[in-house]
Amino acid sequence: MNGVYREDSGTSSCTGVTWQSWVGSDLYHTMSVTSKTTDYTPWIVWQYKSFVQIQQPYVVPQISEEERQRREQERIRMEELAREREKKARGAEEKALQLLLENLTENQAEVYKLTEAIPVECQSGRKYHIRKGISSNVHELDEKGGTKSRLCFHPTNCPVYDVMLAQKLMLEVCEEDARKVANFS
Amino acid sequence: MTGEMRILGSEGDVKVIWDCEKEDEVESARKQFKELTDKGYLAFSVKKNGEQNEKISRFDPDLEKMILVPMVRGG
Repeated sequence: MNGVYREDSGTSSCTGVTWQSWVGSDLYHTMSVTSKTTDYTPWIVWQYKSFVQIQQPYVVPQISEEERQRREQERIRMEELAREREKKARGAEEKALQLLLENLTENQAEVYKLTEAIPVECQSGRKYHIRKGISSNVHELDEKGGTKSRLCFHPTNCPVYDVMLAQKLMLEVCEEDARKVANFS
Repeated sequence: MTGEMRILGSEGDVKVIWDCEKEDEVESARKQFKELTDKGYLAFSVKKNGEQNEKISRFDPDLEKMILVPMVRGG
C-alpha cells in the first residue's frame, strides 16, 4: 500500500508511519489529552477515503436543452440589468456634476478645474479642501496648506458630486454641525 | 416668477419647480419640503453665483433656489 496515501503536507509515501512517529514522540506524550492511541488504523482508513474521493473523475452534470435555454436567457437578462444600472449611475453622476458646478463660486470653479478639489473658507477662519470622494475626502488645512485632519461626513446614497455639494454647503453654512457629525482621521 | 427646489438622491437630484402665482403648485412644493425636512433632510437656500448660501427650516416660495440634502452622517 506504499505510495497511495496523502499526508497533510502533500502527497507522499505513508503507511501510517507519520501517525506512529507522532504518537510516539515526546511532544505527544507531554500534551494533556484525555485519551491517546498508538493504533494508526483510523489514520490509514481516513487517508484512503480521501485518496479515493480525490481520484473520482468530475462528471459534468447533464442539463436539458430547456434548462440550458432558461439559463442563457437569465444570463442575458442579468447582463441587460447590469448595463441599465451602469447607464443610470452614469446619468446620475453627470447630473450631479452639473449641479455641483452650478453652485461653485468663481474661485472654487477655477480651483476645481485645476485640481478637482473645492476650496472652502469658513467664517471660523478654518480652511478645507473637498476632494473627489465620498468618505474622508474633506481635508482641513493647516496654516501652510497641508492636511491637518480629514473629516468624514456625507449624505447617504448619493452620487459622488452630490456628496461634495452637500459637504460644501454644510461647511459654508453650518460648519459646526458638520464637525459634530464628522469622524476625524 | 418661478421657484426651484433640487432634492438630492441616489439617481441624481430631482427638480421641483413652481409658479409663485399658482397657489396649488406652491402648496405642493411646500408639502414636499415639509415631508422631507421632517425626515431629516437639510434645506439650503442658494444663489446662482454659489455665494451667500443659507440654511433654512421653512419653505419660502420666493427664494431663488433651494437644495435639499438627505440626512448627513459621519462615515
